[in-house]
Amino acid sequence: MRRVRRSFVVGDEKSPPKRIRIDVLERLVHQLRETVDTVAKDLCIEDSEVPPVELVDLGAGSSILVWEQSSLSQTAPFPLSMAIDGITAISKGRPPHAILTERARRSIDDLASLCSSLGREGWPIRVDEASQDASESTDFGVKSRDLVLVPSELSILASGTAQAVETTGLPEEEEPTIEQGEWILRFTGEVQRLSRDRKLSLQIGESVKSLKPRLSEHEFAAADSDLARWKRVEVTALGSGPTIESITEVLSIVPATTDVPLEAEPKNAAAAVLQPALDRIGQLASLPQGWNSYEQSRPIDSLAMDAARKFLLLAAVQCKSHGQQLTVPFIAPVANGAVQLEWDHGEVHLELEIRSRGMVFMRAIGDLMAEGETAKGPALDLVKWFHEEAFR
Amino acid sequence: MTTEVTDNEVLHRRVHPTHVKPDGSVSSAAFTDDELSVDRASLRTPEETLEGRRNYGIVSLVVGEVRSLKQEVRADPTLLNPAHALVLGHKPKSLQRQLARSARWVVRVADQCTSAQASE
Repeated sequence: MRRVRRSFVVGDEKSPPKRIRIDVLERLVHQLRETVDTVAKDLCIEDSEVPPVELVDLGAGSSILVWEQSSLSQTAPFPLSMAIDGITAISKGRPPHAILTERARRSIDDLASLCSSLGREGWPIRVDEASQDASESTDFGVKSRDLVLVPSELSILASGTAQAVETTGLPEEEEPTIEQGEWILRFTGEVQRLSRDRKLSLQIGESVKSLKPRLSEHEFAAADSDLARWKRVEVTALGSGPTIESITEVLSIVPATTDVPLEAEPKNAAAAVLQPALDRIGQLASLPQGWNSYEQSRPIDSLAMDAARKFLLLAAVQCKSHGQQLTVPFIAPVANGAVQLEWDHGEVHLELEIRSRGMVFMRAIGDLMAEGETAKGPALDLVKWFHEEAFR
Repeated sequence: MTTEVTDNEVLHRRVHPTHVKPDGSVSSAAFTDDELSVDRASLRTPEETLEGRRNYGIVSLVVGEVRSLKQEVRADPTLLNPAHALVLGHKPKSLQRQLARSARWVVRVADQCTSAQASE
């Protein structure tokens, strides 16, 4: 079993350690446990792999607080270390470990804020910066070397850092303009209903879509009086993606002379960038049973392909809303019928395996990895995390 | 023929062209099976492993490294392929990635028409 031990010392460097009051201790213990728990969840570490953090020693007249965490896993990181290293990083104006997402960072911020607040109340707390692997240790004494952080100074350090950024004198960069992908779609559908507010209910394939086409008074009247002729229509529309669901505007709608299966053509550069990835997902449909030369490999599930396409388009729209251009991921088929999206940039890596139902992720910075099941919303957050870490 | 697979043996795994990333590395998606089929390199040449699979590449894995990832490596000879072996064990995505990172090209997908012995 691996163990890690970290310590806080109550008192600043100028005065001797002081005994901690029980209610102060309780507040600190509560917040530390909550933060460690949040970090563990963020890293998708199973409860069974990392038992709760324990306060194992109140040494030297209760002025040195020693916490310990054990792990059955040989590889899982220690949330206790990541939380405490996180507040050390914050004190130096750096973000906590990059593998952590916003949720865990917020919780570490809360812990750092509590330490600051305790410092202001007369309980300065120094943090042992160095991680201590206690797996072979029999001595519960604390080596309080490298005591670099006095949390009461956190706010001062943080504001000093902010000031330094403001006075760098660099010219303000212009906001990059990010183009959203637009596709031109053509398809035929069957009119189900033409309402007074000029909305058309169209049966397209197996789904029904309500569209408001640009019809003049004259065209509307013609359509209304001649529904038989308008029964089948050909639609040209703009979409934020190459799918019927993504239609943003109907450009024209005319009685159909021939059947047009859905055609999508990138209208602008942003769409053209994403199109090869969308095409590649479509090409996975041709992979037969045993496609990777091993019997177990299944054809790629059409629901998984649809979900992967839609996810990419959503991710592109989300990135745009954050002023970023989506990095087009590598697309790989998976032997279980899923579609894998992979993003790489230096040490930063993100994988999303999109299945017909649900998805699994793995994110890594170098050798440090976190993985687990996820859903569309959190997966979009992971894409955001990748772009922030990769292009920081 | 020995059925014991030693730690210093090398295993060969065919790689489908769709699993080769633009930078030439192999995707973790090539290592997802809980029963991952491989060939023991000491018993089968890359040419034999690729027979009839002209668009594929081959990567190698060292048995000791695979076992260090808590995977079982077991000989599983068949009538048609006496070199067949299995890498057994659940492969979460982090482990798939570790396998992909430790894999070394023996025959690159683009190379395999001209040379079956290219190595990195």
